[in-house]
Amino acid sequence: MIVLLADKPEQASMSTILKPDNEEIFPKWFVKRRNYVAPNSTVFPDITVFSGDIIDLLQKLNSFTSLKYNWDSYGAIPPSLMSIRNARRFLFKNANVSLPFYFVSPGINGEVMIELNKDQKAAEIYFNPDGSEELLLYENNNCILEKEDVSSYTDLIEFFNE
Amino acid sequence: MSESLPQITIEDNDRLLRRVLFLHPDFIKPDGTPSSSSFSLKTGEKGLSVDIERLTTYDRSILDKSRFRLYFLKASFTTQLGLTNQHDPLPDNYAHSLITGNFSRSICRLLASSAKRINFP
Repeated sequence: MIVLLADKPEQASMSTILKPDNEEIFPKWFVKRRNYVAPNSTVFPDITVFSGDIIDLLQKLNSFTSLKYNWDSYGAIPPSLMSIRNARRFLFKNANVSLPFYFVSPGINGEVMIELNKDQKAAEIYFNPDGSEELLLYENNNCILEKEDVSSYTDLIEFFNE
Repeated sequence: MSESLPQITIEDNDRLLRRVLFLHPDFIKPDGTPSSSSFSLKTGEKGLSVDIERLTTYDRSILDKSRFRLYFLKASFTTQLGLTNQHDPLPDNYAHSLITGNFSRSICRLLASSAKRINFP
């Protein structure tokens, strides 16, 4: 979020003007608060409406862009921008869906993995550098479903809510 | 592998050490288990690099205490999964070994969830 100063009240949104109580002490500036990202955008959604857990995952995900070659000491390559972008898009799209988001980590081949976890159930979603996705569902660490074509997350939602 | 370095046989009770990143970004989940990714193979990699505990020290194996933590797997556990443990000494790391076999996503998760943390440092 950024704050803009407007010298005329009509330049600011009425709902966000912070009018100074004492105009002799405070300068005659009107403050317009504006979201840094476009509201209602699926590309740049307003993250202030997301839960703290989602924001934490998004922040961690963004930090992956700074990883260099061999970041894990075993020769891992950095996550690709496509992997990060697709993982971010998944979080944006499903932030308000009833899913137990748990963990995000980079993979060693340029992918990004988002894990969901609830009781003995877990799901791993891999966002690969070539744009493909993989979904794995686990119960007690036993893999019960593995899909390479993840065009919808119906299985995922049903799995955690059944 | 260096031809001149003698190989040993990995015993069932040997502990195999693997470094796991715990800072920037952390690979360790809130429940203390490492991410599956930290037990995955890079494309083209022959096997998962580990160190045989009895042939090294924690200080040497961890490389950078500020960024990594050590986890271990029992050699008997990896063989139960159908994997093979092979001593693969390197000139700068005699303890180096490889766990080879079929590293599916689910195997990687099993390895990660079964790894135990070494209380070091």
